[in-house]
Amino acid sequence: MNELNADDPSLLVIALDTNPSQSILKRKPNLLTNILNSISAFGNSHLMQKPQNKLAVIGCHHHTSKFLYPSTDKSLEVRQIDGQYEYFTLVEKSIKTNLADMITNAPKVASNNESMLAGCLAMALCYITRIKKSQPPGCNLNTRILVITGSEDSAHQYMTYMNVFFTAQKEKVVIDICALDNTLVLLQQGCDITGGQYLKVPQIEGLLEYLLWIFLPDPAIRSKLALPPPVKVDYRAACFCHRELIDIGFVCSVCLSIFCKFSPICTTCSTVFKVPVPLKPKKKKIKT
Amino acid sequence: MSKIEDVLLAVPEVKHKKNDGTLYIMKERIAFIVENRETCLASHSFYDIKMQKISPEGKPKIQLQVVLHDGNSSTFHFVNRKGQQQQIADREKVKDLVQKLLPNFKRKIDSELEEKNRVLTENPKLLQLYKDLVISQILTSEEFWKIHGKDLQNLKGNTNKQEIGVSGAFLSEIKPVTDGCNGFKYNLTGEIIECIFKAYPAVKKKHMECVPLKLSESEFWTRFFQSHYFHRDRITAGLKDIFVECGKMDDSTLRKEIRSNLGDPFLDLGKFGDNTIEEGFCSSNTNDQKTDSGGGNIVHQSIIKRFNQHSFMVLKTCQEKAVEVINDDSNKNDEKEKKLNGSSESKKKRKTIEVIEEVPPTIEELAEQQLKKKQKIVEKIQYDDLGNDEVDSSLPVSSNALNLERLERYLYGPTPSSSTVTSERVNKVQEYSPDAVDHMLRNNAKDWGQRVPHTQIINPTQAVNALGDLSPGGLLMRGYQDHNLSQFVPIDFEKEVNNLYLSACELLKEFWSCFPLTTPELEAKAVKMHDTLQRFNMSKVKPFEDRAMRELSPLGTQLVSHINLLIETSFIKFNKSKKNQTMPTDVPSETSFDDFLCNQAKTEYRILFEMKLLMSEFPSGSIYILPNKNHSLSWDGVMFVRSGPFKNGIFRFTLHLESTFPNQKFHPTIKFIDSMTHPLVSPDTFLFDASHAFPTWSENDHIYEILKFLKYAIENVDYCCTQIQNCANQKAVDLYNSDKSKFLEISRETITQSIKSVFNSDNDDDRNNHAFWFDKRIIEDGLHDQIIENMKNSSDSCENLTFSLDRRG
Repeated sequence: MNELNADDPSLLVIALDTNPSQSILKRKPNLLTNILNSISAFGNSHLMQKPQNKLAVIGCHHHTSKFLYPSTDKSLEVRQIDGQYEYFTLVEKSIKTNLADMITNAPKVASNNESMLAGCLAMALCYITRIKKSQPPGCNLNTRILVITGSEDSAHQYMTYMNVFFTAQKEKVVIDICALDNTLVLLQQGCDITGGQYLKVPQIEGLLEYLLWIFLPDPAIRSKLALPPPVKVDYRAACFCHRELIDIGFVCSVCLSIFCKFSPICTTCSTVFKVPVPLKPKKKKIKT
Repeated sequence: MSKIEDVLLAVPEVKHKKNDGTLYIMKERIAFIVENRETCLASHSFYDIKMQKISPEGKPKIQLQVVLHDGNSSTFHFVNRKGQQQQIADREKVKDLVQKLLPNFKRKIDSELEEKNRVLTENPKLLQLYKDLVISQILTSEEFWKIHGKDLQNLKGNTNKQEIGVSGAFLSEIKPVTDGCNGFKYNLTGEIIECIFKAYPAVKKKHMECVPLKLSESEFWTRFFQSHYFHRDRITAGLKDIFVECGKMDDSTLRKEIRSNLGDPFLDLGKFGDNTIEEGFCSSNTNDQKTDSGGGNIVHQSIIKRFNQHSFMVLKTCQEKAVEVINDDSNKNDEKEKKLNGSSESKKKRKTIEVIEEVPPTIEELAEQQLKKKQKIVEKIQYDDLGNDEVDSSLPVSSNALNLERLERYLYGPTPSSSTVTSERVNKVQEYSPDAVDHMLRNNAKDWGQRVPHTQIINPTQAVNALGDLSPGGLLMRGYQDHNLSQFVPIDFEKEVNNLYLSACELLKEFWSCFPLTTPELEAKAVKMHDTLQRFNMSKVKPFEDRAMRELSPLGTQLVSHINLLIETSFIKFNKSKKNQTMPTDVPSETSFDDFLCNQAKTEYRILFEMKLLMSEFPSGSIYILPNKNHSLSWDGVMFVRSGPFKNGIFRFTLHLESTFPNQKFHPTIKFIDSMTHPLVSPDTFLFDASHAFPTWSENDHIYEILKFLKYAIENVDYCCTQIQNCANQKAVDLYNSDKSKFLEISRETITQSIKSVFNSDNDDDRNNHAFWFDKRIIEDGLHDQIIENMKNSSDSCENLTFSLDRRG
């Protein structure tokens, strides 16, 4: 992490969860517009910090994840409005048009679809790697991913999440998490692993302020700021039998499955264990 | 005791602790015996005595003080009635004798003390411990060294293993001394000669050949230093001398060594090549090599040869040592040389090889080589710490492939805890259906093309609120100061806490190592360690805690809370173990939770095992049995009698195991739910008596065996009545023997009664809790026929079917 240099330009990839089945949108669907506005403002602020700064926004809908900015297919015609720098207008416009495209073209929501955030993060990592490779030699690039989501933790994407987190750690990509609604235990681990910042927004209306305050500064200079203290991350393992977090459990010596109770036969790999033998002096006592 | 030892000196009229008596100086001790009494008031072994002091001249009292190593001292007052002169004379006598005797003992002590001192200075950690524990008198020094004696031994062991190597400069250290004329004088010591022999084995050989017979010792060495062999590294004219042969000898051994590849069958020295990166890197060497190949620069060649030879010698000695020596500082020299030579070695090898004529190896040699290779491979792939059962089996290794039945288990994370979900669900407002959300999003999306006034993105009050949350002390910044706690603790406190932990952990380690208390020694040790811990707690932890409370008021308790917890835990454990000792061990399972868990797991496993055995050993069709759904120690069973006087009866019974199963004295109790007139069934308790077949119960008896016996006994009443003495129901036996028809009548009644009770489950709890329970509907609704049909179709599934229908709950 100490390789991060505050003087280097930075690439920020925002992964925005737009899945209509996340609880926060179910309650107030109009919030998405607000969130979108905040994000485009935030993205532009990031670009404003340094001329070389780069930005990418990925939308994660219930059926697919797609780049909202920079858009791949068509180039938008942008002219100056209200004296705003054209670049910023382009960013805002392409984010909104692309997301509108995605939403209107999306198939109907079948049931409670999970947001495929892990896949979205993997996309972001690929993009980051590509950009890094295309950098001229000698130029460093600080890279980070900001996840903005109101979904719940998903046990099914656990493995993908972990792969993403450790890849990010290896690639020195910082993952920041901005939780809009639920406490995200799994993503907290990602923050902790990659050295990012985790924030559960107390009031969604003030989102832009939180974003600007906490996530705008580069990780390299965050240590100099008074930011919310890191949350204590729960790294307890989940037992394979009930998927509950346990402090101390039993581990199969063959397949490393974790159980909260002792069972004489491992249910994952069918290994039969020896019954623990009581201590010798004990045995004597019983016999006499 | 003093009578056994030789008294060297007895001085009467001495006072010690205001008692008059006699001072005795024995061979190994100094003792004071009170007058007219046999008691020995003071007795000090010379081992304990550190020194003696005398009162200064001119003082009225003539005294001699003996200071002991542990800091105590004894003072003897000489009160000879003859006056001060005599008193001084007495004291002088004692003093001189003690002075003479003390050194004999001192040396022993000193060497030991020195050793300990050395150990302490070498280990700052140990020194700290010593300071904390011994000097503050929590432990005595003996106890301390007893505990750490092992470390002492280890240290000793390590130091003894070193072997002195040959210094790289051993020859240049022999300073030639000019003798005034045109010559030099070399002073050779035995050590230097030893070194020369080590470095030049050929010279040693020559020395053995020549010295006593042909040359004198000094002549030999003079020749050696004059010889070409010694000087061949430098360019000198070839003198004819006895050492010419040595060069040849060296060459031949070198050749031999290369052929044997240093004893490593996988090493091929001939293959070593020299690859320079490009011209310019090591170019001088490579150029030389190229030009030399024609036989050019003899100087370089010979120096290379010397290097090679030297590296071979170093490698050889290393191999010899490798077995015993782990890591020696004295080897530094060797290693340095090795490094130095290593680079040259590989480079030059090729050329030397060219000179060697290949001798085709014989078959025996080949076989031996094979063996060596095998050994080497085994050496490399075998690890001591990984059991070797797989390797030594010559059979094909039958490793069970890992068979993961449920791979997906690895891929899932923890399920989000339900509590948070519900709590959030409680205060949710109103949720739109996914369709509605989708629709609204689509509608919103239409408006996104328009520009948004900046004021709409965030309104000022919300921004200020957010700022409040994020400022120190705000909602999100709580505990911001907490993680800086370490900054508040001054360094000296930190150090002290460190030391406290060091000592506490050491003591606790000793304490916990006593458990479980299996031997009286361990118990004694536990008691001692407990006392020590208490002393430590009182003299170290408590004062520190008080000081911390005073000086760092908010943190005082936090600093030592963990240590206190550790110590408290040990006290609790000690008290508990003490209680267990005083109480007779009537509840063995309570002595330790681990054992309890162990036993329980064992019992449960045994029950599973019994069940499995039962399934495989016991034929279906007559007895069905299942552990009760509530407690596995009680099993519910039902028996369909197929023959004998009770034919067609359906009897339900329960089988009880003791909690210590399979370690129980008597066989598991089998109790029938309904009354039954049978010789082995008690008429009052309905208990089935199997003591005839199972007088005792052991681990080797199984439940299916007792069930087999049950079946046999119910179906063969005849056997019970004739073969078994002291039946549980003697009346039934008598009845059977005297009036068989009457018995059969009663049994028929029992059968009808049993069938009735099986179908009629009244409100009786005992009956309702039974796992087997029959519903009349089975017969009435024709289910029974269906089952029979199914049974005919597939004989396998009949068991399952009956079970699934019979099982309730």
